[in-house]
Formats: sequence, C-alpha cells, structure tokens
Amino acid sequence: MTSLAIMGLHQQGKSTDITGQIRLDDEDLVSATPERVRRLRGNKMAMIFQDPLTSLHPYYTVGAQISEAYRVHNKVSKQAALKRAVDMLGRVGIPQPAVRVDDYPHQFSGGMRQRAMIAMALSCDPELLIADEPTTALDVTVQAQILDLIVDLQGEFGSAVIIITHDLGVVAEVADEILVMYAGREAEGGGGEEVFGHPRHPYTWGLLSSMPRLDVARVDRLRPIPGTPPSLINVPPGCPFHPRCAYVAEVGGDRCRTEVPRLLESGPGHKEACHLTLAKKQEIWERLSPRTAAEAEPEVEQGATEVEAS
Amino acid sequence: MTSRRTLAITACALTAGLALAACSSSSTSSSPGGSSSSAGTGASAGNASFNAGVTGVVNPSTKKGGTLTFANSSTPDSFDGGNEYYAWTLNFNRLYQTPLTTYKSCPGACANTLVPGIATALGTVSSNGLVWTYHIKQGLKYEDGSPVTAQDVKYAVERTYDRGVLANGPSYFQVLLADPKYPGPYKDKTGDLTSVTTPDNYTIQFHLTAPFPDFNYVVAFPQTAPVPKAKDTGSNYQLHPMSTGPYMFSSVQLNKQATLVPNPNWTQNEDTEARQLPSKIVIDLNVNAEDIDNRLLAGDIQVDSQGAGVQAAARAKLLSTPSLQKNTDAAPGNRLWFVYINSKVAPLNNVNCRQAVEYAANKTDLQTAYGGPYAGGAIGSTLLLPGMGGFTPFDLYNAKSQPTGDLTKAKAALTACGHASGFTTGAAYRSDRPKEVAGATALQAALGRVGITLQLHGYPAGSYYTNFAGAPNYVHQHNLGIDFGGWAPDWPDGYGMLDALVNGNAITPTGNANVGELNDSTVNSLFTKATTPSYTVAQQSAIFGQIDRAAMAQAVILPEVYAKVLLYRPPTLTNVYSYSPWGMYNYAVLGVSG
Amino acid sequence: MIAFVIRRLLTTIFLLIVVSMITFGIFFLIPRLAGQNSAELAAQYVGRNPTMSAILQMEAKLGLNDPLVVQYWRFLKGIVVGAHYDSGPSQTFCAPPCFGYSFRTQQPVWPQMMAALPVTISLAAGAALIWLTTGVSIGVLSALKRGTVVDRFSMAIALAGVSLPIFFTGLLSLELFSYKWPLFPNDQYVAITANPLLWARNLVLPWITLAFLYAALYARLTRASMLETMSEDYIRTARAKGLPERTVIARHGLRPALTPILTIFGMDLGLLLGGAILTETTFSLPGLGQFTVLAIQNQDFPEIMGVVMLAAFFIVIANLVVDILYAVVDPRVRISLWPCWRSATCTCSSGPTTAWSRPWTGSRSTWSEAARSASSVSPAPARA
Repeated sequence: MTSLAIMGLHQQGKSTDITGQIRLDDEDLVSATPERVRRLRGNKMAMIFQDPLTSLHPYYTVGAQISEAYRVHNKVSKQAALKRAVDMLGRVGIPQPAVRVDDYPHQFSGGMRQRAMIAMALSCDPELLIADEPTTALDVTVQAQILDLIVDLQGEFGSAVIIITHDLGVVAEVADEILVMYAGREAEGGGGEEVFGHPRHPYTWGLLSSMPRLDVARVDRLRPIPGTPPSLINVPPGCPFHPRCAYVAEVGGDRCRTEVPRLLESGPGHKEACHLTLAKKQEIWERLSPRTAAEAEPEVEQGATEVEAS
Repeated sequence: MTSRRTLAITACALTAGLALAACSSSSTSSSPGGSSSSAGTGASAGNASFNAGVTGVVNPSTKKGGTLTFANSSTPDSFDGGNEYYAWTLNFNRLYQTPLTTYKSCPGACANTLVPGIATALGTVSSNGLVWTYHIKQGLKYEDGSPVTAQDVKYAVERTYDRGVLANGPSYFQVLLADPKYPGPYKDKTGDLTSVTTPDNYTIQFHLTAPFPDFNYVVAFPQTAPVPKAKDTGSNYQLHPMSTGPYMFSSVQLNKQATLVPNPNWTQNEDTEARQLPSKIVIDLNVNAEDIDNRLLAGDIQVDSQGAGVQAAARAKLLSTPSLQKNTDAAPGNRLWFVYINSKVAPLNNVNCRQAVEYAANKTDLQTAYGGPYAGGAIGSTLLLPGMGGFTPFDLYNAKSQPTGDLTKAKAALTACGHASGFTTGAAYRSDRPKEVAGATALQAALGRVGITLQLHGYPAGSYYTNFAGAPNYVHQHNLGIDFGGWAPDWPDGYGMLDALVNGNAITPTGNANVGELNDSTVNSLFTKATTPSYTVAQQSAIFGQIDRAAMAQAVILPEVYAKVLLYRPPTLTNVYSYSPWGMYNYAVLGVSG
Repeated sequence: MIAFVIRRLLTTIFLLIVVSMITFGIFFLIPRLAGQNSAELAAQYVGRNPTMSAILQMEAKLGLNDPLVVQYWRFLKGIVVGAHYDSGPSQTFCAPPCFGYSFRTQQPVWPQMMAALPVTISLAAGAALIWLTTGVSIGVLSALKRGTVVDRFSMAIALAGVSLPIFFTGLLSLELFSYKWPLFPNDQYVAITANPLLWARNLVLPWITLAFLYAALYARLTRASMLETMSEDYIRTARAKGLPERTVIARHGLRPALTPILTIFGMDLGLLLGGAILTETTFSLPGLGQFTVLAIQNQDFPEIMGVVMLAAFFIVIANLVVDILYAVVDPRVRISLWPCWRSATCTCSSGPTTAWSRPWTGSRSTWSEAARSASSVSPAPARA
C-alpha cells in the first residue's frame, strides 16, 4: 500500500494559492503540468462526492458514465468498457448489474447511487480514493453499508482511502489514521485509536465532548464548542482556534493570539498544533472526560458493531 | 464599452436625422428653385422641371415596351369596376375597363371635361330630364373576342344593386333610378332592372325619378363598364374582370400582386383617352409606405398608385435636392381639407359662434399642419375647388388677407352670439392621420386665443364616418361641435363637391358627410333648382357658386387647404401629368422608357 | 406516451375553443358595450356614403344582426363542416376548415392564410437557423471565456440586439444594404419553388434583422445557462474522472445547458409562425404577420379570427412538441412521462405516478430486508 501524505497545506490569507507539496507516489502534483494531473485523475487517484444525485450526470446512464471513466484511461472498445462497468456494479453490491447498468442515476436509490459512484471511482483501479462526505446524504443503515463497502473494496483493490467527514462515528468506524483540520489548518493527527483515546487538541476535545454517547448515563449535558467557525478569508491571527478556546489562559501571555502553533509530534505517530504543554493537555483531557478511564478500546469497536447490526 | 457607445451615437444621429427630415417641410420649401405655377405648357413639354406635370405632359412619348410597376401601401377596394370607389382604383380601372363616359386625358382643368368612353357620344336627355339615352360603339370586343353589347352595360348596372355582393361602389343608381328595391340579378333570376332599358343591342336608356343634369358623370363610374353575364362570378369577378381596356389581367394574387398584359382585342376606338404602351404592368400591394418612396426614388417602381403623395421623409428630400425636385410635382389633389362646424351642438347652433370659429382659426398653422404649401395645399376660403364650374375666390372670413386669424372680428362674433368670453366644445379628428392630429392641436391653440376651448377626441379613421363624426346622434351626445374632415368630389363639379356636404337632404344617420348638419331651406332649394332640365352647364355652375357662398355664410365648414399632393415621377416614366378628376397622375396613358 | 399526446391534443382543442370565444367576444361585445349596433358595424364594410339600404343589405349578408350565439355557432360549424357562401350568381362551398369569407374582399380566408404561411415559414425558418447557430455559439463562447474581452464585447452587442426595435434595425438595414449600396434590393417576395436564389436573396435582410434580435437573446440565455451548468456537481465529477476539458464541455456541459434553450426555441418558433408582424411589415413580406395587421386595420372579423386561431394553434403545438422534446432530451422527465422507458423494475400496466415511485420502493424494501437479516460483520446479503 502506498501512503499519501498531505504536508503543510494551508491558505495564505485571502488567496487560495497552494504552497507546499502534494505527493502521490513520490510525484509532486502542485508543480506538475495540468495535463499530467488530468491523466492521473480518475486513473491513479479517484474521488467520490457527497451528493451522488447531483454528482452523476442526469442525462447519461450509469453504465455509460462508468464506461466513460474507464475508457478515458484505457484504450478498450465500448463493449469491453461496458462489461467492466457491469463488473464493477456487481462488485459494489448492486443486484442485477447487467440490467441496472442501463438505468439512469435518478432511477437508483440513494445508497445504490453512492455505490455506483464508488464503482465509477474504482473502475480504473486507482491507488488513492478520496471520499468527500460519502455518507452524509444517506440514511444511517445505508451509511453503514457504504462504509463497509469502502473498507472491503480498499482491501480488495489495495487503494489508499482518504475520507473527508464531520461525522465522528464514521471516523471511528473506518479510520486507520485521523487528521483533524480547523480553519484550513491541521489541528491534530495520528492513529485512529490514539486520537480518539488520547486527544491532545482543544478542538478535538470539543468535538468529542459534543458527541452523544450510548454508553454513558444521560446525566451529563452535551458540551458544544462556543462560537462559530471562522471565515476562511479572515482567519484569526495566531492560533485560529483561540477565540473559541477555553484554555488560552492556561498557555499564559499572549502566545495564542500572536503565535501560530506548529504541528509538533508529541508522541509516536501523534502530532498536534497547540501551545499547551503535553502535561497540561493530558491533565485537561482527564478532567474533561472521566468516562475515558472507564472505556477500554475494544468496547468502542463493539458499540460500533451493534450500531451496524440494527 | 466602445461598441455600445458608437451604436448609441449612430442611433441618436439617425433618429435626429429622421426627425429633422420629418418636420422640415415649410422651412426647406422656401425656394423651390423652379417655377411653382408656370404659365403655359411650353415650359415643361419634354423637359422635366418642378411642377411641369401640373400644367403639361412630361416626357411625351409613343414608345412601346417595358414594364410599368405600380406599388401601393394597401389594397384596392376591388379590381371589379362595379365594386370600386377609391380614387386610385377608379384611375387604375381605366387600364382594363371602359365606362360609358370618361374624362378627357389632358393636364390641368381640361380633364374636368367628359368625353365618350364606350358610348358614341355623351348621353342625351329627354325634355323632361328623366330619360337619358346612350349609344354604344359597334364592333367593340372583350379580351376574349366576344362582342360588347348594351345588355352587358345594363347587366353591369344591375349587379351593383346586390350590395351584399358588391358593397363598395357609389349608390347613385339606387338613388336616381326608379326601382331602388331591385335586389340584383343574383337574387332575382327572372326579373330585371326595369328603369334601365335596351331598345336594341347598341342603345341603352336610363329612366330617372327626378331630373339630374350630372348624369353623364354618374355613368363615368366603371359601374357602367360592360360585364358579360356568362362570365360574371359575383364576388370572385375581381379576380379576373373581363377587359375592355388596353390591358387585361394575367394574374391576380389577392393582397399581393397583380399583373396585366396588353389586350389583343382592344382598339384605340374603344377608349380614345387610354394608351397601350408598356408591354407589362405590375402592381405590388401592401408594400411598406416608407419603402415605397425609397423604391420610387431608386427607380425600382415607377408609380406610387395611392396617389396621396410621398411621406414626410421623402418630402424633405425632394424639395431640397434640385436633381430630385425637377422630377417632382406639387399636384392639385382634387380634395378640400376642412373642419366641420356642427350647427346643432350648442352654442354653435348660433351662426355667430360658428363665424367666430371661422375668424379665429389660424389658417397658416393649419396649412403647416397639413404639409405646407407644396404638400399640404393653398389656403382655402371656399368649398368649391379652383377650376370647378362656379368657383369664385370669395373670402368671407379674411382667410387669405389675415391668414393667422382675424381676432377682432372673432371677438365681435362671439359677443354677437352671447359668449363674449368664449365657450367649450369637443373636437373630433382621425387619430391615425398625422395631418389631422397636427391640425387639431393647431386649431386648439388658435381658438384658445379668443377663449374657445377645444376638447380633443381622436377616433380611428376606419369607423370615423360610420360610428363617430358621421353619426349625428354620436356627435350630439358627445358635443363634437368641431370635426375634422376632407372631401374629394365624386366628379369635378359643384354637385359632386357640395351636395353631400351641405345639402340638408343628404344627412344620414350613419356615414353622414353633412357633418355640419346644414339644413337650410335656401340652400336646399338651390340644389333642386340646379337640376332644372333646361339649364346649361354655365347656369348650373352659377347656382353652385351661389350654394358655395350661402353655405359659407352659414359657416358650417371652415376650409383649410385646397389639397396638393407632392408626387415624384421617375425619369423613366413617360406621358406623365397630373389628372384633375382624381388628383394624381393619369394612369391610363403612362409608358416606360429606357 | 400516446396517451400523453392524445390528452394534450384534446386540451389543445379545448384551448382553441376558448381562444375563439374570447376573440369573438372582444370583436363583437366590446363595441356593443360602447353602444354600437350591428348596422353601424356593417357600415364599415360598405363603400363611402352608403345608403341605408346598402348598409342593411351588408348587415344581412354578413349575418351581423343575428344573435351572437348564432353567429358563433355558424363560425364553429364552418370550421368543422364547411359553409356555403353566396358569391352572387352561385353558391360557393368552402371546405372545412372554413374560417369564413373576408368581410372586405369576400374571398375565403383559409386559402389566403395558407398562401401567406409559406412566406412566414420561410422567414422564420431561415432566421431561426441563423440565430440558433450564432446565438448559441456566442453564448457558449462567452460563458467559457467569462470576463474576458470576448465575453464583454459579445454581451454588449447582445444588449444592442435585444434593445433595438426591429423597425429600427430593419429600416436601417434597408437604407444601407438596399438603397445606399444595392446589395439586396428590396423586391417583392419570390416563392422558393419559383426561384430559390431570388427567394433567398430577398430574404437575407429580413433574416438578419430578425435573427439579430433573437441571436442576442439566445446568446445571453445560453451564456447564463452554460455558466449555471458548468458549476454543477457532475461537471466536477467529470473533471475528477480525468476527462479532457474539451470533452467535459462538449459531452457533459452542453447537453444540459442547451436543454432550456431548446424548449425556449420551440416556443419562439411557435410564436413566430403566427406571424413576425414587425419584420414582415418593414420588409413588405406578404406573410401571416402582415395579414394580421391588415385584418385588424380593416376590422375584418373572419380574417382576424382565422389568424388568431392559427397563431394559437401553432403556439399550442409548439408547446406540445417542446414538452415531448424535453422528455426525449432529459431522462428524468422521460421517466415520469413514459415510465417503462428501459426500466427493469417497472411493469407497464401502471400509470405514471405509481411507476415513478416503483423503482424506489422496490429497491428500498430489498435493502431494508437485507439489512434486517444481515449478520454482525459481513454485508454480503446486501450485495446479493
């Protein structure tokens, strides 16, 4: 498996220039020619989007769209491409794929459409699959199926997967590695269990605290993060999270307001961008979730499985 | 954006140019550069110059060949002679049909003279004035070679009685002959019009109910042009009337175009006044009025058959460009433009109030409103047109001596009728006629000077006489004391000009032309006196002169201008001259050169 | 689909009847409310200075003194069955659809309209071809090059085209290209069957004048539609698939962008076939537009009625064609109209609404069943 590392990607003030590098298979995409990048799209890297109804072309059949994706990067006949499309539809779990291949996107249900998108994305056997909020438009039962599908196909096709989501349940279900972003910057990154179990950024704490839990007594109130996310054109100076952070005082001085925290490794494979000391972070987290000590990591998995089965 | 601005500037310039052209008539016509009223015909024969066609023949020629193209901005009322009344269609009709009598083909007042058409001579009348006899020339043929007989003339008159089929022509026969209730040959298949008899194949007699000295004029209408009964198709006859003229129809596309070719069976004897020169005649119908002038000036067409003169834009161009002006005629339009002053709507029922209107009107402004001296006409003071029998240039209200109005006399007249500070009344005009729109505004301003307030009301021209100004009830109900109008006589004499306008017996509930509603016993009896069978033409003319004066003294009509029309004759047109019976060029004699 | 078309045709007939009633009412009732009686109406169709007898004869001939209902019934009957007409020496029969005889010329209206129709069709079709090709290409180009000089310039010209009235551009083009430089002399219309070259030459200026207006409109519409389409999600997907930009625009962008243009075009063409009044009058083309103007000026009721009904008919048919075309072009609309179009899960016996929901509920029930019976780990049943 080849890994994708996104490093140093952030927005400079009002412009959307990208500085830094994006590397796919050791090839930098930012400095590559547009033509080269186009050849890679769909081929080595593929993407699926949030709303499959608007993301699939309403005028062409699903089969035609998948075949097209395949034929852009592979010189094959129309029949062969169609065969590939039927094949892919079958592999993503759509029944009667030979018949459904001639249907239009609006004739599919929501979950089936997302499966079709995934089929289209994986048709060229890409090395990277980017999924932008793949389950947000779907209901919960279908969500689970799609996620399972993605995980299975990842194993089958051997692709790396980047899932962009706001849903912590989804993250918990499938993520090997987590990257928490805030205001276009990395806040915290690390292994899935590590970040969930030992979060080390006030934003992550806020996210986890505001999530309702089945395994906790209903005495506690949910604690939302006060304030609103900043406009990306007008990022606050210093640490972008500082206007909403409760722990600015504990850092001392004006540091949070003036100095942009760098993404620093605080443990093996665990980085975060915060001026608080490690000890402070661990202490605050202890304070915030007394439940944390009671949880064992296997329990987290079991809870997720229960959700899936119902 | 540059392109947008350039476009805008061009647009403004063009609009301004057109506007300037439109309202420049009086200012640019100050120096025509040629003689406006040349004496004698010698100045114009053969040479084109301004107004040469008014008094003489321009480009006289006997050369045959070429295509003569007419264009009209609308359509004829019909091509069927029995169903025509428009002046230009009567003129055009001479090309393919010939009535019993017709007008002499010559320029100037000479053409007011009647000459025989298919008749051998003008009609003779019995001593009691009730029976008119005509003899038809022998050997005349239709376009297909069949002979023309008197029965065909009788049939032609008979069919005009069915007004459901032939609705447009004049109603003189129904009024003058003895059986007005005859339903026509289509409905009455066995009977006939008993007041018209044909003692033999070449004689026809008309039996009138009362003497009518102008009967020769009545039969000059193409209603007497012979129609073979076997070929009559009623309302479809207009698609191919049988020709007794120099030309016959080769095709008629209704509302689009008609084409005529020379009639092989025509001889000069059939109509001494017409000519057979072009080898093809085409008339295009429903051509955009602005475009007709352009085509005329470009030489694409030779005649604007409507004969009402060029539009405002071309007018300015013609009068200001010497090379074009020499091909222009400010021809007499055989029409009087005027304003009716109704004698039943208070306070205009008092003759003094009416005379106040006559004095106070600004005749110069009205003349300008109608197009100025060349395209509008000369300021008028009488009802008869110059050149008509009985015409004398009297001027009761100082229209010529004080053309901007005689306010002193106007105020005195107002005092005499008991409205020293003026009064209010309604004024009707045809809102789709720019001349009348301008005239109404001018009159409103002029009369306002003495305290007479006009409330202007515009009406559509098509129903003006049937529903509004010509419906006395409507006039009374809406207080339309002032009504704009005009009159082109059915024939160029006193009767044709005056009867419908001021004869009390001519008032009708709809389509009324005596909008002034003059019902004066003196005037009425003069009309009757004019029909005295023993009178000569001179005596009749004298009577009409008296009627003119008497009616003007009653002030039921305010004359505006003796109409002129500004006509353009392309240099390729031959035998062109202004023809007084219809106030446009004589269409029966034209040819094309080059 | 057949049911749909039949239903629409029935609606068409109903609509035409309503239109005829309204026209009838406007023509006859309104003057009556203003106090005009039928004799005064008849007087308009008689010559100058008519006698009362002539007016009454005309009134009887035209049937104007009959009750309005009778007159309307007579009119309807004529359309369906035809009518007899007294043309003088004989009766002529006017075959259905008989729109009566012109009050003024006493000639049958339908043949006159049919003679005028080819002129209007020539004008409309030629102009349509020009404005579609130029307007749409300019619009697409402007959309793709949004904000550049090309875009701004095209839209400025388009603004001029939309704002300048036809009688202005028409007269201007006549002044320049007919008279100043006699490139296209303004001669009478020549039928295409008589002389195709002359036919085309005489129509060039009217085509361009008419097309200028519509091309401008279509350029702006296409630009807006194209911009909207290019910002849709499926364009993003197409790019994400690695398609070359050319293909993205041509295959994925143009078709949905042009669909609304197509439907508007159908409507415009339908309207235009009823008569391009301003253009025909300016260029003296003897088409339905000029016919309409003259009919109204002459207060010629049968002609007015004929042309109104014909125009309404064209518009309604254009509507129908447009709706069908929309279904052909857009699969989403197609399914709701023709539910069995290539749909695996539909049995054709049901009506549109149930069939519309059928594929959905079918699959949903399958999935929920699968989910219920799923074991803890493997989603295999869902895939089956």
